[in-house]
Amino acid sequence: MRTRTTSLPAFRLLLALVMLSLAAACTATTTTATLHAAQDGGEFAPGWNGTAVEGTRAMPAQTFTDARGRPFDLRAAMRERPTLVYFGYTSCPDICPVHLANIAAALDDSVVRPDQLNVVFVTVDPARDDRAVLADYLANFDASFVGLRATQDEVDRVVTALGLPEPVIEGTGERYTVGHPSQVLAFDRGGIARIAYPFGTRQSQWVEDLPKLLREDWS
Amino acid sequence: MSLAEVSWWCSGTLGQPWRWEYRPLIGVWLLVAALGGMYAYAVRRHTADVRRERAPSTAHYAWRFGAALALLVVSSDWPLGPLGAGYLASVAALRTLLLTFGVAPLLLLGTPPWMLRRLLRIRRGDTEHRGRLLRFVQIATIPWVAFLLFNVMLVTTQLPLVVDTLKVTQAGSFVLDISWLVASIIMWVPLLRPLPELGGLGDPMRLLYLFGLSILPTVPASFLTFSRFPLYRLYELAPRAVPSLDAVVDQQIAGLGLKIVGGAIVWTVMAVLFFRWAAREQPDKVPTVSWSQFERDLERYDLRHRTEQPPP
Repeated sequence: MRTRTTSLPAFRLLLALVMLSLAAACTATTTTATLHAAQDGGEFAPGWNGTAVEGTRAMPAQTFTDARGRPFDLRAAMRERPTLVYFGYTSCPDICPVHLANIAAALDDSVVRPDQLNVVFVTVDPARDDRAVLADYLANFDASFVGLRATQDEVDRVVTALGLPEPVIEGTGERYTVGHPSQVLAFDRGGIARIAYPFGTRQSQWVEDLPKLLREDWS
Repeated sequence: MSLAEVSWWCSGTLGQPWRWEYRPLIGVWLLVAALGGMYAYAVRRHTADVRRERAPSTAHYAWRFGAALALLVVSSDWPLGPLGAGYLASVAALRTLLLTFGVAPLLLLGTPPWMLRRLLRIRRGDTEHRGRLLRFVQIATIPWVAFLLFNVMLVTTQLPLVVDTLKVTQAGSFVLDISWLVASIIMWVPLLRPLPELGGLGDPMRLLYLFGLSILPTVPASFLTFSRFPLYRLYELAPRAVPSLDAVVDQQIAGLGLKIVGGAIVWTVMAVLFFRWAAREQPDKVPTVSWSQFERDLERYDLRHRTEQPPP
C-alpha cells in the first residue's frame, strides 16, 4: 500500500519561512536612544553608577528664569545643596521622560529627601517650552523639580561650556525634535560637574547613588 | 510608512517612541499564512483520501484552528505584539496569557487526530514503528516532563537577563515567543489527550496537574508584583506608551495579571473538569454518548470505516 506523507514539504516550507524571517529580523534597529547612549560612553567611576566627568567643568554664570517667571541663579542654588542638571525639552518623546521618571521614582524610594537635592531641568527648546508648559510637565514627575528657561543662545552657551554637545533642531514645522545631551550631570556644592549619568541609568542605580551625592564622596 | 519601517516580529526598540499607527508584523502574518495554508492543504488531501467523504467532525476542528490563528494574530501583531515586546510588561503578561490559554489549546483542539498522526509520522495500524519525532513528543508530553518543561520555560522566559537580552532583537523575541508557545502546547497535551498514542492523565490526576500549574507561576508573579524596582531594563527605559503608567506599576499589573487572571482560568478549567468527572462517576447515571461525540471518538481512535482504494 502506498503511504503518502503530506506534512514533510509543508514543514520544509514553514521552516524556510521561519529562517527567512529570522535572517531579516537579525538586522539591528538603530534608534535615537542607542545613538545617545553610545555617545555617553566611558567607564563608570569607581563606586558610582555614572561616569566621572573629566577636567573641571564648572557651571557658567547664567541667570535663568524659573517656571514662575522669577530669575534663578543656578550657581547660587548649587552652593546650598548638590544638584542634578538635565538639559532636555518637554516634547521629547523618549529619553527625557524616562530620565525624569526614574529620578522621581528613586527620590520616592530613597533616604534622600527632595529638599536635600536640587533636580534641575533646563529646556533646550525655549521656543515651545514656556513657563506654563514647563511647570505642567515637571509636575507630572515631582513637584520639587525645578524647570529653567533662558534664550536659545544662552542655553547653547551653557551647554557648550559644560563640554556637552550643542542642541540641534531636527525637522521642520511645529513637530520638530531637538537633539540634546542625554546625560544628567551631578554638580557638587562648588558648581563643578562630577558625575555624568548616561541614558539607561536605572531607578535602583539612582537609589544607590543619591545618598553618595549628598555626602559628596567623589573619591 | 516606508518598507524600512516594516518589522518581521515584535521586539524592543530601545528608545523609539510608541506610535498609535498600525504597523503589520510580516513574520506573524507569514507564520499564520503558512500554518493556515498547510492546514487547508492537509484537509484537502485527507478529503481526497477518504473519497470526498468529508468527516463531519472536520468543520469544528477547522473553526478551532482558525480561532487559534486569529488569536495568534491578535496577540503577536500590532498593537499587542510591539507593546508587549518593547513598552509595557503588563501587555507582555497579557500576551503570555493569550498564547498559553488561548492559542496553544486551540491549536491542539483544532488539529484532527489524523493530522496529528501525519505530523508525528504515525502510520495506520503500525504500533511497532516509532519515529524520532514521535519518540521525542511522547517523552516531552509525559505529564511530569511536560509540567517540568512548562515551568522551567515559565521561569526562564521571565528572567530579566533573558528578557533584556532576547526581546531587543526580532530574532530573539521570535525565539522567546515560539519557545513559549511550544512549551504551552506541550503543557496542554496531558490535559487534552489529543491522541491515544500520546497518553494523557486520568480525571483526578488532571485536577492535580492543574493545581500544580496554578501554584508554581506564583513565584515569578510575586517577583513582578512585589519588587521595589523595575526588574526589566527593557520596560524601565522604554518611552512611556501610557504616560500615567510608570514602570513599577506596569510591572505590578503584569504580576497580578499573570497570577490572578492565569489562576482564574486554571481554576475554571479545574471546576469544569471536576463537575464533568463527578457527573460521570454517579452510579445511577446511565452513560449517554451524543452522535457527534461518537463520531469524534471514532476519528480519535482511528476507527472510522474507510474503503481503501487500490493503488493506481
